[in-house]
Amino acid sequence: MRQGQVVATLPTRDTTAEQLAALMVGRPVTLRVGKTARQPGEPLLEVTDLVVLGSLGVPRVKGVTFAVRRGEIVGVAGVAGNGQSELLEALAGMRAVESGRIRWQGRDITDTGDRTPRLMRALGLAHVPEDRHRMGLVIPFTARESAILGYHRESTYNGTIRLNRRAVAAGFDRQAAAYDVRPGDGSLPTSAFSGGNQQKIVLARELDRNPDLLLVGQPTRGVDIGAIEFIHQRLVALRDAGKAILLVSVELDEILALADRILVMHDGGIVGDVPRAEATEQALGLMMAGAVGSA
Amino acid sequence: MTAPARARPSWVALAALPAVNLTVALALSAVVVLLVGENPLRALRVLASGAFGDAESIGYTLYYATNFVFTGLAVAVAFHASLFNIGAEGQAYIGGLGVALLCLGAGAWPQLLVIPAAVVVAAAAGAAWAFLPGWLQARRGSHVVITTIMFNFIASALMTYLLVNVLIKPGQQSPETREFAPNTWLPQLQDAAGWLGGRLGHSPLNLSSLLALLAGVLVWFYLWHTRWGYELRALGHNETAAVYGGIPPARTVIAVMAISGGLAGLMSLNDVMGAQHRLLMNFPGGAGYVGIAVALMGRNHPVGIGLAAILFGALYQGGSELSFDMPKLNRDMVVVIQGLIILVCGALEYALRGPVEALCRRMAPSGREWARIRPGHAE
Repeated sequence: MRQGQVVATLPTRDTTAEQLAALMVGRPVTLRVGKTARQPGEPLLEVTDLVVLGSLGVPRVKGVTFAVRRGEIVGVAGVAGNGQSELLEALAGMRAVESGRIRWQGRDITDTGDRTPRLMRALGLAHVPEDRHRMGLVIPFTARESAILGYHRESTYNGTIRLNRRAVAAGFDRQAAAYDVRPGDGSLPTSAFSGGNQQKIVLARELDRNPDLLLVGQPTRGVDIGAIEFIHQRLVALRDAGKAILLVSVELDEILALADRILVMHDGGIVGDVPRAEATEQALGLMMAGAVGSA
Repeated sequence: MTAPARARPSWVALAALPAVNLTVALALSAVVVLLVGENPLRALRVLASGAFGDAESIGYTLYYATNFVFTGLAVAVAFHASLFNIGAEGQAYIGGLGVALLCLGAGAWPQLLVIPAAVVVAAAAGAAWAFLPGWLQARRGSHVVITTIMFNFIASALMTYLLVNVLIKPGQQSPETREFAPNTWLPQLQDAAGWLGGRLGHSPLNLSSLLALLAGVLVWFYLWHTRWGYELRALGHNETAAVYGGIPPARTVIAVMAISGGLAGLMSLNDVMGAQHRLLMNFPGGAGYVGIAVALMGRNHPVGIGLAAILFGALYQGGSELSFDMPKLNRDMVVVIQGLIILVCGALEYALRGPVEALCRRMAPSGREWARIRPGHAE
């Protein structure tokens, strides 16, 4: 069905995913993202022996070491609940680090004051959280209010005292146009937008400041297939512009479609570090289950 | 995915619904009045003329309303951050202590200096009294509902001690301070009107009513037109998202509680400095608690709070007339009526929404753009 009409009836046996997707969206959809090989640049983010506690006070990230370089998408694969969320939140400045070091462009930022989300954004590190409802958006806010969350103190949006509502509205309109957010009316409550469009609001907001590194969790969870393609293209474009992406996803297909290098997490540790070319679904699946390790 | 919020015209949510709710509450009150054996229509007439019958009654109504605007704003500001400040009563009480100390000591100051100083002191004293529960909530996790109630009792005990043992006017029985020097009195609005050639009835209405209006405008500006208001509301809706957005919850909670307490503290100007000209035992008289009802009924928006405050001011003023004129309807009956209004307009706020909306839709069909205002959300 598309826009309230049945567009095709097909026998299950003879139908492919691409065919279904094309019918749903109304044009051919490439589930495989067109991506050229790239040589990654200098390391942006280096993490050494990082330990992060979960909300219950038990270690959820148990001494991981890795680096993310310019021009690469590093995928973090794993069954949900193996420390990926805590890793992402710690890197975004939302969660304290128990031990280990975080280096940003060669500088140790582990103990920089209180390593707040605001500071991390100022450094050029943007974060699209795993859960847009719980974290990425303030659902009862208008869309344009949601579209400044985390950037609401910037001088673009503020006078000395007054929040410049015209600038806030203009900012949303610009982002909505660039990311094809529908409806484009920023005075609607955020709850009035579909999951895909809410995700685009978050993505547009986080990419608007041209960050050097994007931390992104479950970028396409609960998102319609047309928006998935759009979001994937944006992420690849970001990488091609020489930026870096740390992508956490429980969708193996998504990791395989986007990542240049894949870290596999199991029980808080990294059990595999596999270049995309050498990765197969079976091998990753076994590592995610904790059955085998590599690297 | 999520369907767009069901559109409805803003005036249904903002005007028609409260009006219908108020009518229902009055109808229920009429039943109570009937049960007591009085004529509800006459009671309503006495109440209305007692509250709005002449310039003097209007003055008293607005005088009470001023108290409720301050405490209502105090509760509302905290409420937008998801904090339930039940301590406006104690914060106003301590605000009064500050004002009284200032006025007792400032007998020789020029009035133009005393007034701004009193505003600052009232707000600061109230803010200090709310800062502690805020700090306890933010740093130690003690719930503000509990701590602010406890602080009401502490304030009450402290003031009793001070009024009985320290501040009492020597050689007198009742626990109150001596009268302040006239230069520390707030100008009565009737005098101000007299200078301008107008005439207002004799009432304790004073400058602090204008200050209440100003406070309403400032609260509105603060909540919806500053980054601090943005942070406060974000925190109130979703703490996780606030943390994600770089908003420090602890610091914000403490600041919001202090602002809330400051607003409650300003209430004391109206009573201590504007009407009594001395500090009386238990002068807030429950205004801090009425402020909760006012904020609830006013949807935590300054305009709604102003209207709800006038309603409760009218009930206070008209209610005393009522018990005077119709002895069967004593003070307690007025409290029952207040309770019914709070119940229907506050707690059962949305019970009648469906029918009222359907009716409005039929009456005002096509063409009109339904505004997309959600309850409790305003800009």
